[in-house]
Amino acid sequence: MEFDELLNEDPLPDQGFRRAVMVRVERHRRWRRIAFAIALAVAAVVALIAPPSSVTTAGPELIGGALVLMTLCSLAWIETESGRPRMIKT
Amino acid sequence: MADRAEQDPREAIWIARVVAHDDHEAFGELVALHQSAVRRFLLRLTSNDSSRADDLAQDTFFKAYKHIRTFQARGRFLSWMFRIAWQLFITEERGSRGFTEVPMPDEIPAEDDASQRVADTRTFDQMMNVLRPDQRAAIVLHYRHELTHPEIAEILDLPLGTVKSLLRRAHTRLREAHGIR
Repeated sequence: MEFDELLNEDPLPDQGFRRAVMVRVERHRRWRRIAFAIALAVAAVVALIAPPSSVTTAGPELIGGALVLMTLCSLAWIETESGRPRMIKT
Repeated sequence: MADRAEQDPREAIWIARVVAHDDHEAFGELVALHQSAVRRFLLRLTSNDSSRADDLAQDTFFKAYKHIRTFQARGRFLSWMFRIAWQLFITEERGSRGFTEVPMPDEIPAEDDASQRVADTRTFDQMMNVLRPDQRAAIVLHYRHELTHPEIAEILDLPLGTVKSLLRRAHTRLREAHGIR
């Protein structure tokens, strides 16, 4: 027996594999869109409820709100983009 | 065993479409193109546990989708996929139970029994189980996918010399146990 002969097999039938992967990909994309929409909504609410004078008089509330918003956006970003597999070099 | 020669020219276009436009259909084409190779590779590693292999294969494609922007076209896309698959397999293996040893088959059919091609393949799977997963991976990548030693070293994250000795030992082990050339 030879390796070549034994390892040369017919391709595996898909059997719903592609569909299963694409469902998962689509779920991930939807989650990213939702996370982005939530971050935008939070930013909009913060902008609406902040009094106009707060731009010039940035108090602890405004700074705290901005930090919370930054943290939320960062978490959403990390959740969807974290980790980088090492590259194949040739 | 002509994977390298059969590289699909549309692959680069699909990758570009996924990277540039997050093209769902193009990624689906990449899945269809490589699902068999990735699933077979994982089947070998998991000693033909098809449910576990398919779960790992799904994770592999999902991770590839999430990180496709980091893929550099200097290497082959399939090699990159194998690398992700191997990393996921090793992570799961370390997290659960360690390398699996499967008992040797009781009976090996005679070499000239060509009428049982399917049975031969099944027996070959059992033969492969006498090898460690890293040896199995190296054998499949080298003989089935014609990857070079440096490419296998990249995928398995091992020094080049280790890959060469891994292949030599695996070959010797199979030859001693089953008379495979």
